[in-house]
Amino acid sequence: MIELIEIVQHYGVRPVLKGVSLRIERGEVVAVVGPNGMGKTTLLAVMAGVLFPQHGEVLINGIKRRETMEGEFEIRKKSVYLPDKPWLPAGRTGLEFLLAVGVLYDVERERLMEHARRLLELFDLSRLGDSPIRTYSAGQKKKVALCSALVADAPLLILDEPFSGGLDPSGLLTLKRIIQRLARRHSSTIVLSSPVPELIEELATRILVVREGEIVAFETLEGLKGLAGHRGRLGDVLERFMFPDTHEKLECYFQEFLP
Amino acid sequence: MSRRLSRRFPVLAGSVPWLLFVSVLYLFAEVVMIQLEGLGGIGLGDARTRIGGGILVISCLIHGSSRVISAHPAFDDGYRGWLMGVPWTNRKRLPFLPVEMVWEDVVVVGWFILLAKTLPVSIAPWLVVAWLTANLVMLGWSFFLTRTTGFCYLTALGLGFAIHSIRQQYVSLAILAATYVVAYEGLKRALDAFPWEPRKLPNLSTNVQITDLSSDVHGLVGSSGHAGWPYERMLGQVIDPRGISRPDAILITLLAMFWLYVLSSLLPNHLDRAVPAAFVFMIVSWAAPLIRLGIYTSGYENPLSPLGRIATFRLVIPRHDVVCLTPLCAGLAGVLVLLAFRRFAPLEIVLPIATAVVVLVTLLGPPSLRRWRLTGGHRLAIGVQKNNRDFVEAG
Repeated sequence: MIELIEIVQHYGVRPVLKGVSLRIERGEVVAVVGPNGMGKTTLLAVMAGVLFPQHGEVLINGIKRRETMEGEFEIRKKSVYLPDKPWLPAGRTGLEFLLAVGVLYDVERERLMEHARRLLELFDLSRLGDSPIRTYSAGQKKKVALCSALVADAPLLILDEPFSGGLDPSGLLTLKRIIQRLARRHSSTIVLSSPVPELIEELATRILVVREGEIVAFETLEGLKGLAGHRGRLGDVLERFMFPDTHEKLECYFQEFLP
Repeated sequence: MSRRLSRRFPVLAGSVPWLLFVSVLYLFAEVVMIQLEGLGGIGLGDARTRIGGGILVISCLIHGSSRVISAHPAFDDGYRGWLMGVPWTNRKRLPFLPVEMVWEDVVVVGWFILLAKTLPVSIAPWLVVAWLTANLVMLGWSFFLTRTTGFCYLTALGLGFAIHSIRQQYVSLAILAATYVVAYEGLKRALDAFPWEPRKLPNLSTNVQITDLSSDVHGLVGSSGHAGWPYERMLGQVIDPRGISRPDAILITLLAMFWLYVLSSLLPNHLDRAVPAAFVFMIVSWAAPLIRLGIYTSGYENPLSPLGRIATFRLVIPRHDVVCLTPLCAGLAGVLVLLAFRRFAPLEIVLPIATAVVVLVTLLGPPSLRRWRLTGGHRLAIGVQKNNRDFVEAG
């Protein structure tokens, strides 16, 4: 369970998050959506404990982040944060990297070896598993980074743009199915950001819409449609929340430049 | 024949090329000096003593230290790994070279003493002092690596006393001999405790020590694994931050203070003795707090920019700014000790004490590295990995 209470986050003068409060239950898949530069990544980083907000509290399973050494260590052992652009050890092979991550998370040795190999196989990286990561393509690097998040066996996954970064259709499908399985069968809590409405529609139990550092909506798909007063596709519904004046701007542009 | 000889007398056989090289070098230097004397009619007695003697003293230093480095498994990963795989225990001799002093070492140093007989001034005790000192320094280092820390401190203390009384050669020799007896006991205990994973120095990198692995996983991950960003920062660096224990910090500080005093006491002039101590104090009082600050803040950055602090009226962020407190106090404490005690004791004593206070506060001041990394009010950042060719960006 994740709970954010009145989070205010600044990097400089401009506040990126303005008094954000929310609660995510165990086993939920929450998709964070919003326009660029409006606080999605910051929100995930605050949940993950990478950022220390200027105001407010973050609680994971009832434990306050950064309050005590034991509590924070416990949280870190049970959660994985994968930023949109992780940095991987270039000289290590994919398998070595996954093992190193698994060891950090105290994954049982036999399971770790087998799980790492199986994940590489799932993401079509078997042949590259023993090659240094620096030889991987962009998409393959993204895949091995995703494998690292999964090999940790953590019950809380915070994934920033997991479907971007050059994933091929097979990679997208594999990740989608694993996320669904983790949430449904293992009660894992997964918070992810993605700009692709079709993926969110399939995955998310609730959708969190962030705009200008505030929560505009935090609802199930049906709830969101009800709020928007629009029963169409999620893309259209989100557009009403995130870009209410886009249609108006487009009409104006067409009239002036593309009559 | 030569193979049998080297098996029976491995130390001697290994030292022969070194002995030959030093002898040729020494004789060449001597011949040149004698020729110069003959040509110019100038007295180069002192110079000759310095050059020939210098070559022999340096040779003893090199041989004394290399004996430990080449024989002790703590200094060689391959040798240590091989030893772990064979049924060796400390009841048997080490299979290649013994680490402790053997009679063959006496032959080597004896040969150097024999060569030194051609010099106008006897330097025999110096050669023994040099050999023992170098040997003990490396033994002390091996105690650090093998976590026989108590003997490391005792060796450093003995060496300090020996250097302090260096003007009385035979007193110094006696202290070195006594220290060697202690170090010999330490060596026995260190080898008894084999196998050990040698201790690594604290560093600023993002290495995480991964121990306690089954052999198959260990073979793949290696002795230290990088897990990149953000795993290293989130977990790797808080599992084993390689901090220093309180007793170790106190003992290291006391030893450093003692050594500073010993080294400055080598200067003949009473007033001059304060100069190196003052120099060291000036360097340490800045460098130690700054190094600590560097270790603490590398990858653990300010949560708010200076402009942001002004704009939000949060000029002080206690949970973050606490990181600067100990470095500030360390420098300040050193200066205060210096000002408070300089009237009561000579500078050559007060300066090492002030330096020790700076080091002690730097090492022990709160928060501990692990506490800071887990609960500090910082922003975790990629840090050095971003500009490091060992890491690649994904996504």
